[in-house]
Amino acid sequence: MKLERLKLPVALLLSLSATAEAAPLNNSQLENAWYKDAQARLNQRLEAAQKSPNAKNVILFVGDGMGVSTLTAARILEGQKAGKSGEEGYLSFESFPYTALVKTYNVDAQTPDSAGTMTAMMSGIKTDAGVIGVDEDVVRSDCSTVAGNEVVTALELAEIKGLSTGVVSTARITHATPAATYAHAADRNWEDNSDMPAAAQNDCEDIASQLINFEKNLEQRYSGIDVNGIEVTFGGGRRHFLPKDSAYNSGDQVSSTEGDRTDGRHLINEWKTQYNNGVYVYNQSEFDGINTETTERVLGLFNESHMRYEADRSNDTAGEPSLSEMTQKAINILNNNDKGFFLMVESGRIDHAHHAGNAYGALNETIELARAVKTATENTNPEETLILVTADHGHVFTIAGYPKRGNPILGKVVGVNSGTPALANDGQPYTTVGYMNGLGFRDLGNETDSDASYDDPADAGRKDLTSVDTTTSGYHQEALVPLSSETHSGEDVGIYATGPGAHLVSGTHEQSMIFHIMNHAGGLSDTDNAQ
Amino acid sequence: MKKIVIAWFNLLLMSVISFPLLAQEVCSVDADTLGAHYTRKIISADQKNVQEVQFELWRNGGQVAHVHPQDKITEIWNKTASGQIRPVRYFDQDLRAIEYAPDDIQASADMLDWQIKYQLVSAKVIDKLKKIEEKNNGCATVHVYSGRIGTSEIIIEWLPYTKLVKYFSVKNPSSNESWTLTKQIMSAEKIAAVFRLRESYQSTDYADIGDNETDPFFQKIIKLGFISHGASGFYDDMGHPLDGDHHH
Repeated sequence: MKLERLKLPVALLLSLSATAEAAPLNNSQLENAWYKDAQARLNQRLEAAQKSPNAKNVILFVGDGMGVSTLTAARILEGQKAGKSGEEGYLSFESFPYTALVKTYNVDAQTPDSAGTMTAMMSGIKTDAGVIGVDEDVVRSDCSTVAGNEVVTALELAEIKGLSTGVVSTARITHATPAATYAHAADRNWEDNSDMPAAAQNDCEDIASQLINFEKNLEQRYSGIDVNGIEVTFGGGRRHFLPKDSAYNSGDQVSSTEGDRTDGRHLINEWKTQYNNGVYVYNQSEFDGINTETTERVLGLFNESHMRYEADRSNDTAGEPSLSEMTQKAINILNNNDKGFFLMVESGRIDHAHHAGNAYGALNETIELARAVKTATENTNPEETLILVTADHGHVFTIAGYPKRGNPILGKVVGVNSGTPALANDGQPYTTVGYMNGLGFRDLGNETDSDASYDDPADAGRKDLTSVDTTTSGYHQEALVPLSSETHSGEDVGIYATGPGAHLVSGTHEQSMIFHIMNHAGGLSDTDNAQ
Repeated sequence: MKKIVIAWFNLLLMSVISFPLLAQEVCSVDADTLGAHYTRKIISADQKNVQEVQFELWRNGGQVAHVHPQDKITEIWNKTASGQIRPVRYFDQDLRAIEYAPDDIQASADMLDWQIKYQLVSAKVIDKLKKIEEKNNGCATVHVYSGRIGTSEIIIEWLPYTKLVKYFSVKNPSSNESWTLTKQIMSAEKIAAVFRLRESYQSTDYADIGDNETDPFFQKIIKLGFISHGASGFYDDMGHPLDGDHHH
């Protein structure tokens, strides 16, 4: 039996070899578009493998909750918006030469959260769910366990090396993913002092305060270093930086009192005092007015909480920049440093739209992230800039059924050679994309805020979609298990890489490997300044 | 018919014009800062089911609170700079809150009507009724309205200076519901305390619920359900939800 199993591959190989000799590649095959496309990609890889691993700049893009099914569906939607079938296209970063799979679990959780996963990416160690920039020895929400368990981040190493640094997110800038670049906390929810237990407020510093005190704190932690602080910070979350007093409202707030801080501190003013040459902006026009050649440092807080969804952005009172606009502005400021820069860009609201069960929102956020990555590739030198694009975790979002080629990805399944929606065993049509759990069905028409459904209870299970337009922005897909919010998933996510060191991205990695790739390629810890 | 409509409009216009003068002369109450306690009673048509619940309406400047003591849930709304209404839901037993964005309330135009939050009854409803009596007595002046909307027979006793419903009754084939004002609070200190207490709760942004699924509070609230949009007020001129349904 064993011999027979060995014989078969050998015979097959000989047969293929004989076939190749008898019928070499002919022109129709060589000129075939599929063939040429694949060959061009092979050539790209061969060329990239020869390049130097030393990256002057490192940019890490994180699509929060951007699992593989999200990428596939977003790719199709992007193509269909351009009038194509969609399946044949690539999101900008899917054309990068190197790809790998990433295992996302946390030390204490099979299905992870953003705090533990981003800590892994930024610090090279896996840790527990819900904690920021600390190792697994920390007990969540226990301030007394933080001291001594803080881990250094890639952004901190870049600072110590003398690079310029930037953090950009469409979520609150104190939210788990951006926070893991600069903060160390026993709980991701400690975004300002009012979020912390009274006992913890004396001995632990809230996340917003850590952002403002980043330079001072880093110099205290590593004696002898001299850093100059984060140059670019763009995101939402103003409420964590303002006193709980309506006198400090920005005018763009939705709450009666915008600020949440109960310690009376006005962190934006503290930042301005600390950095006389710093520019603070809070709306689109001020953002547009930033001169990237003369501005050394900028803090942009564009929303009281998370920034608007891309599909909903035009509804903001004061105006908010897009992720791609923020990316471009950030790069143009950071590249003024000849030593190079480290930049983390998060598309934070892919995750939120999925949690709300709104595929339209999640896919449009993903398409905007792809736009931001394209902006980065167009505004950096590929010979000296490592660009990584990945996700912290996936969502329970699926592409199912047997829709024909070019069928609207947000539509109902219409089978091959059919012109009408396929019917399930219950006699009802069904959509191609859907969720395993969550709030379930909503038909909100042209609503562009994915969170517009949180005020109603879950409505899981099958619905009659016969007369429902499932491609609208306000449609929320059916879900099987009723939950107050759709959940993360535990499967691997993809990572896409280009530039010096990108060839290290191959195979299946623990998520903590991402730090090591950035550190190696960027030489982040190779510094005389570090102690 | 046309003459009657015009006459009714003129009467309404005259009453609107005369209110500020009367208010200055006989009543200086601040309608934007007050508290009002109500007893809500719902009796089924067959008289077999009687439900009685308490309800509190509070106003504090640009904020309005609806307190549901039995459910231990409070909802507070504020107007944003863009004129939208922004809700925060407070869970009084858990000392927790969920903050929603202004666009998050998925509801009819009436639900987005600030009047409904502010005074429980929309001007559209009052406009459809006939004023049958006016008892002038300073701040306690009462206007009584009556009429039919759809299948509902409605009576409203209206306090024009405080913009409060003193009594509301709706009878329809399925039930008989009444709201009775039991107490008015004008103490600015007591009113501020109602809002201050809730602001001290630990709050979570609606969009962050998904990242906190393991929080026992969020695991619990999905079982608790939600305050229905028709639970605090008697609303629009289309008949819903004047039937007294109370979904919790």
